[in-house]
Amino acid sequence: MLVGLKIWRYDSKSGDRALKEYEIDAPEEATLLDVLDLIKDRQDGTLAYRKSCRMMICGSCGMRMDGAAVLACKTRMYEIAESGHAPVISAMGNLRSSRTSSSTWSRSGRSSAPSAPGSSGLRPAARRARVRDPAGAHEPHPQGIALHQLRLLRLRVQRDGVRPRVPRAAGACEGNALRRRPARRDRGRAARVVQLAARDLGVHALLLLQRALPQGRRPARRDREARRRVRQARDRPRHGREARQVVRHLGEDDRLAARDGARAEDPGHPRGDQADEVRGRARGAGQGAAAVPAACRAEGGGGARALRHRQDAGTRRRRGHRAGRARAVAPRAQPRGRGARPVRRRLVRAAVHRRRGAAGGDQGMGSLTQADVTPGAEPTRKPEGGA
Amino acid sequence: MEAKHDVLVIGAGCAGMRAAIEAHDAGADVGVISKLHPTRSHSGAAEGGINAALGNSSEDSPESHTFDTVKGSDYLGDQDSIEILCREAPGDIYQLEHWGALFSRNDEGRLAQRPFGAAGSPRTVYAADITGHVLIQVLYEQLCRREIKVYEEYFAWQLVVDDDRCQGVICWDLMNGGLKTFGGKTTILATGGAGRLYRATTNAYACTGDGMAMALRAGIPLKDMEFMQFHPTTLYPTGILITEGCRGEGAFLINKDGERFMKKYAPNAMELASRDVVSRSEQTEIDDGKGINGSVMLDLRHLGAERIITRLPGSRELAMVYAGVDPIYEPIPVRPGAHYHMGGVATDSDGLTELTGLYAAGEAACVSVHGANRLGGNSLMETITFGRRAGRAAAEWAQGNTSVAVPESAERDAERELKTLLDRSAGERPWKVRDELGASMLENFGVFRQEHKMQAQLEIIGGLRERYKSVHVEDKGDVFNTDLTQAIELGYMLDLASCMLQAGIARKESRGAHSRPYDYPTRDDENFMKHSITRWSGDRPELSYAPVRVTKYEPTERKY
Repeated sequence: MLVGLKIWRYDSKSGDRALKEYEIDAPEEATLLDVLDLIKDRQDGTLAYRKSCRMMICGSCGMRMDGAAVLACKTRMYEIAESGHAPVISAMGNLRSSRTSSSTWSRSGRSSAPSAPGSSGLRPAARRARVRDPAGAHEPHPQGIALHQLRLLRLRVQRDGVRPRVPRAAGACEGNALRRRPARRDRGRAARVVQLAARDLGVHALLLLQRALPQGRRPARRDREARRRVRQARDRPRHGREARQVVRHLGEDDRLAARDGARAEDPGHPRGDQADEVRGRARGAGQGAAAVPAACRAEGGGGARALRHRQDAGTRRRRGHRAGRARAVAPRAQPRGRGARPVRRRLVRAAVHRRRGAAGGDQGMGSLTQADVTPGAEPTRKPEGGA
Repeated sequence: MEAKHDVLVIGAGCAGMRAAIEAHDAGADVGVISKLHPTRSHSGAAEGGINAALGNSSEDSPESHTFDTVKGSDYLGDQDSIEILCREAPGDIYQLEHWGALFSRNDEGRLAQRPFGAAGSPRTVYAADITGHVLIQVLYEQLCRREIKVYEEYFAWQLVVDDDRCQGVICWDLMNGGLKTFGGKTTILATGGAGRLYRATTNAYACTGDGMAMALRAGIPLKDMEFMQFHPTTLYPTGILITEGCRGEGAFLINKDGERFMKKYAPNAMELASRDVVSRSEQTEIDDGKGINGSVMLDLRHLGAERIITRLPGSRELAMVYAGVDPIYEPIPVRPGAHYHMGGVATDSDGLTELTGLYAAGEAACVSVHGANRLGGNSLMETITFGRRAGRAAAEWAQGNTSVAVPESAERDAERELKTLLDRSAGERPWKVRDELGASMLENFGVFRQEHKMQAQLEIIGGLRERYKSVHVEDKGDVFNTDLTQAIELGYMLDLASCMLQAGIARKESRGAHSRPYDYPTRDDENFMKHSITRWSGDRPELSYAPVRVTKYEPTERKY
């Protein structure tokens, strides 16, 4: 088949460019590369182009055909020739000059000057850790100062955000992912200022950093807000934990096994006899169930907080774990949510407390108000003294 | 002198880049000279995979790998070098993987290994079917990271030999023109093979045997030049490679009648027999008239679309673009094509040639680990392992020796020769000589060789060399004068062809890829279990022999 091509030719001596036309007879399965080979061999030996693998693997034969970038070894000429079209072949462009320096990418941060032999491309600090090579010197790099300034700028933006530096509140802690604001489409002038600065420096990566940097000038407030959000997330009702932490109040008709001794009426219940006392006192106070905690408190013992209140879940440690008598003496009053059930606490015999108050000191029972007592882990020794 | 380096590496394929990296890590100042951009080297076209006895797929050991390689080489490989290769292979694979080579993984997450020709157990580590591409990119990244100086698009032309040492190389600068001299305390040749001698070859345009011819002209012996491996599955007429990985995944080779003809020739291994066995089987079928348009068919249809698309996407695209068939629905027409040159510059296990200061690695070298026939996947391994060893040996030698002296006379002689070539204003164009060389080599020195055809080919090459003396270069310019470099490459190819023919005629047996079914159909261990050594004397090659180093495996009959 007869193939026509128009090729942009360049004369290196005079600098002239000209579009030259060629026409050659080529086999039907010929690719553009085959046609160029035929032209070079048989018509114009000065035609120069790169080629290597001829199986669309290496990329050497990239050129433009009618402006579109193609691999010459891949482009079949049959249809083009049949249609009578003579495509314009030109070079891809001078890739060498447009190739940017890879110095910011390379490990040593230097330009294409060869690194000191034997260094295997490590950073200067890592290289110092090894044996220093006697022959080569670590010559200062011309772009080194600019890179250093760039790193400083990045650190500053990371620390202070885009606005001018202001003294930070005492106690503020360092950057935290929780400080990030959700992204908005238009950040406004501040964002544009940073983008301009980044573009001037020629480092567009800084634009990408913005998402990762903390926003705003008040890290402390942001940290507090973040903590609050996290705590709320943590304290949200959860299925599994809820079942364990919440105080399950036993109704009259709860059919629990009597042998477990879970309910006050059951024979095995460790505090079975005390319950009636407290109920009596409460009834005496005439306020029903709500008075029970008041009565307990009045006794001077909040009771062993065997079952942790729901709101304290997860924050026990934060609050300061006040063990022993301290907790008993001044239990923290927690604001309870709406509809929360009245708290029932494990009760200790009032007599014990009175005696304790008199004797002043531990009666040898260890902690009466064991904050760590969990259901089923009650102290096994009954308190002394009679009912 | 353009530049002076401790180690000069000529060629920036897998072997060259690995040698440069190792030489740099050993503390030498390295310069890499390449006539192409490094990632365009033909190593990037390797598809199948790289062999190592990792044992991920089944029980495997370096000893098993060694035996398979020795048997595959038809017992012509030097067994101590093969042992070194197989022993150091797993470490090199892991190092490549640590450098970022994304090999394919099996279900356990370990490196996947696929079965390849003539391997007892699957040991070919692969990255889909672009293993060579992946390795080239990984090695180039390591090269860039160490900021090793790469002289791209410098065509290496002559070695400078002075004071019984290789002092450097004289190159033609492709981009700007002019002869440039590079001095090097040591030089490593990693220029690849000479597949372009044949019209039907899998090799790129750049594989013209430059390094081997430069060494030959400098007086260095070449080893085993007559062994050219023909890959069984190449397309026609371009010779484009369809990887052995297709057969590894389970493809069938069928003839015109639809039968898997390999069961007649290699009943145990079938399509995964050694490459020379499969090529010979295909050629026999084609010669018997059981081919279709001179090709047999590679059938992948039974593998299924998913497997083809995930594991063999490149081969599928090549078949679609260059053969016009979609392997999911139609079989691919394939035939043998020249693929790998087992011969090369004679070296020892550290890549050192006979000349002090000159090393060679990769396909350009002959250690010899491939003997008379190479296993698939071993070539990439050889480039990495022996590239590393040559780089280290060259760097260590260079650091113990201080001077480089390129004599002025060498530069003046080179310029005079070049002027002679360029000043010729009329004559024959190189392409005619090149086309005739390619066609005649394929016809007379292909898969099957006969005495009278080889003698005829010797005459033809003599005639072509005469015609080469009057070949004329049309482009007299400086910038990117590929006309000149192609003419020089043609000269290299003609010299190498005469070496190959001489060694082939003298070897009166059939061993590995050198198959003479009509006159000497069997292997002759008594007389010819030795390497052919070719030296250049005057204007013709001179043949001698060197013994094969046998350690563990005595030669036996080779059956697949």
